[in-house]
Amino acid sequence: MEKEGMTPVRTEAAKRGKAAPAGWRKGGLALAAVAALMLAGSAAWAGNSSTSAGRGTDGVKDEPPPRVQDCAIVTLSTPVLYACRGKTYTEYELSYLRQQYEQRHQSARQ
Amino acid sequence: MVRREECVSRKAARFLVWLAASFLSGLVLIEMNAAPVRAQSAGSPGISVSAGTGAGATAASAPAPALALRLWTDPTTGQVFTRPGPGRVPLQLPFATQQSQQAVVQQVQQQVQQTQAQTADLSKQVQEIKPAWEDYVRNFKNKVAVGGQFWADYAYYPRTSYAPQLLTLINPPGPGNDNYNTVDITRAYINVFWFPTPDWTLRITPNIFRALGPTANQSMGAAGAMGNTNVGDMSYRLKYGYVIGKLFADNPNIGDDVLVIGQQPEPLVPWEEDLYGYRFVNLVTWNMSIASTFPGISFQGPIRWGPQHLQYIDYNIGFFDEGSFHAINYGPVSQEGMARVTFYPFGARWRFDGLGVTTFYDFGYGDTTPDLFNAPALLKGGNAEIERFAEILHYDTETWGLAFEFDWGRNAWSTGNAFSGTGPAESFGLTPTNLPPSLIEQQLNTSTLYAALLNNGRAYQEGYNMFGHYHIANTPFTLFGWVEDWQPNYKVPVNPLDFIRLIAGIGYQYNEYLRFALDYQTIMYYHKQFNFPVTEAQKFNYVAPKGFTGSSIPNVVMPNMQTVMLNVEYAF
Repeated sequence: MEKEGMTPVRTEAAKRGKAAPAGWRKGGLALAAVAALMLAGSAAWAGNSSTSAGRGTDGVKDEPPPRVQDCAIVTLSTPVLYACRGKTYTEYELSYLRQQYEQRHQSARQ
Repeated sequence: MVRREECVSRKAARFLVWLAASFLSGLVLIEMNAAPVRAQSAGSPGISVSAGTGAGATAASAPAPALALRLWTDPTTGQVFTRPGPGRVPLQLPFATQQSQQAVVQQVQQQVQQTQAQTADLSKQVQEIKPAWEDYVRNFKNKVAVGGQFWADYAYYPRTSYAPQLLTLINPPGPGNDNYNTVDITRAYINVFWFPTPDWTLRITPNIFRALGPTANQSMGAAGAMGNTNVGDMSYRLKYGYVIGKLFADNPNIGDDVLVIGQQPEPLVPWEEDLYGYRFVNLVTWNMSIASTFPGISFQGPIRWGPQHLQYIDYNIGFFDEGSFHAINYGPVSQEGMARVTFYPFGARWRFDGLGVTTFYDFGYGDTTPDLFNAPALLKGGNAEIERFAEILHYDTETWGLAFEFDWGRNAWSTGNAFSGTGPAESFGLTPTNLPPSLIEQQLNTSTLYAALLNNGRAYQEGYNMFGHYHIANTPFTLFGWVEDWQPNYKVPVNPLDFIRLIAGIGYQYNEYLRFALDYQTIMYYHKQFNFPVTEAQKFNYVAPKGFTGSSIPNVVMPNMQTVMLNVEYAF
């Protein structure tokens, strides 16, 4: 069963087939490295971007609440938990915060 | 006489009406103790109006008397007369004065006030009753949570093949069915949590599964029969049923750690699904080998410390039945032990925050009764010990995550796993229909080889994975993917069952509850087609099927499988 006990047939097969997974693995590692660099760079870029913050009717800066698409899934259960800005929210809380924010800005526009 | 008396009576009645009207309108003012007055100058001389209830006057100091009309009546006939006569007795008809009316009004007011007080009391009682049931409902609402999860997809398969399941409940047909497409429902949880006390919680979660009944028509009685109608019905089964106890709630370091008893999530798979975030698109690697749910007992939770109270360790250690949630436990020796420990060297504000190193180990046995397990055998096959190991290096932020996973296993991948989606009929003990004899023999040969390579009790698995997700800033879109290189038995120098699984897709977060994903998935049996030498196969306990005399088994590599899916998830 050990690899050093390969038969000639196996060796032939290895010539045909084993090269593929080895190549895949090398390619996979390279791909992983590239992906990691891309993600790191993109994350840095994303970190510099900012979402527009509105102002409330009282002049106090009205920060938009965290959006669910900007959050990480913590637990996919009942309720679903998301991590946003270092805190954990349920999907109900995120929905409520978003709706309240939208209502404030809608009434301010009117 | 009678007519005259009747006439008098009518006159008296008219007078009474007139008198009452005059009184009520304030036109008649009568002083107390006033002398009798003529109420009607003609035809009614005997009629008098007097104060007091009796015939005589009353003292001025007496309470306000009522004014009275004095008549006479014959008690035997009941007739009323305006003047006295034989057999007649006086008849006093009192009527109200202003004072007496005020007294009546006052009495009525008192009665109204009393009634109002009684009504207020009754109202108060009703209000006291209403909050009682409202309080019950409010308390009930705060002690129970009901939710659900729904996963569905539309899948189009440009190429079909024999392969493991890409998702639970998905079983596309094998090779030769290219362009097959289908709509699947892969999850329909009903989550119910009951937490009447802060320290113990009960969870019950039914989920759908595909019920396959008898595949043949069924006889009924001596001469009747009925068709089989329950093949493929969606049914509900228990997915989760367990209690959670917080034993150290007051401890700041392990206050969230819990004891879990019952049919519960296995330590690795559900955790990794949350780390990945796209379980509604594809299974995580070890989930293709081990179920996500087992009956058992576990202790799990985060361990936090430091000034910021960060999580540095997250663990889940438990003992479980050998049989998963959809199998009877036969448990040959002992329970199956599983443990997952994750270290966060720099601390984590939330569950997966930052750099983490996760180790998972599972040791168990095939789900076989003790008498069969202990029976002497050259190779234990499916009854042998089973091990699974995973080492995952992961880094997560709120908008992207990346993970590398190494897997190692022993006897953890049988033909049942390799063909959990669809496999050759011969691998399930069935003879394929509508195939020429040469192809039937071919399938029998390859199926026998696959079983020898995987089910021999000495199979070792190895896998390499990379998976992650990246949210495109200021959009609802997230890119995600998974690459897996899987060797079902690396002791085979060139295993035709080796494959690479690739998933690449884009997710769309519609709102807090609803997500979509468009993705491409493939399983590539990456070895070029070849003939497997019988001498090599015999080292894995291969026994050639009856009638087969060749020196190699031809064409052992299966074609690739590809699919394009549109997935949807609704969770709350």
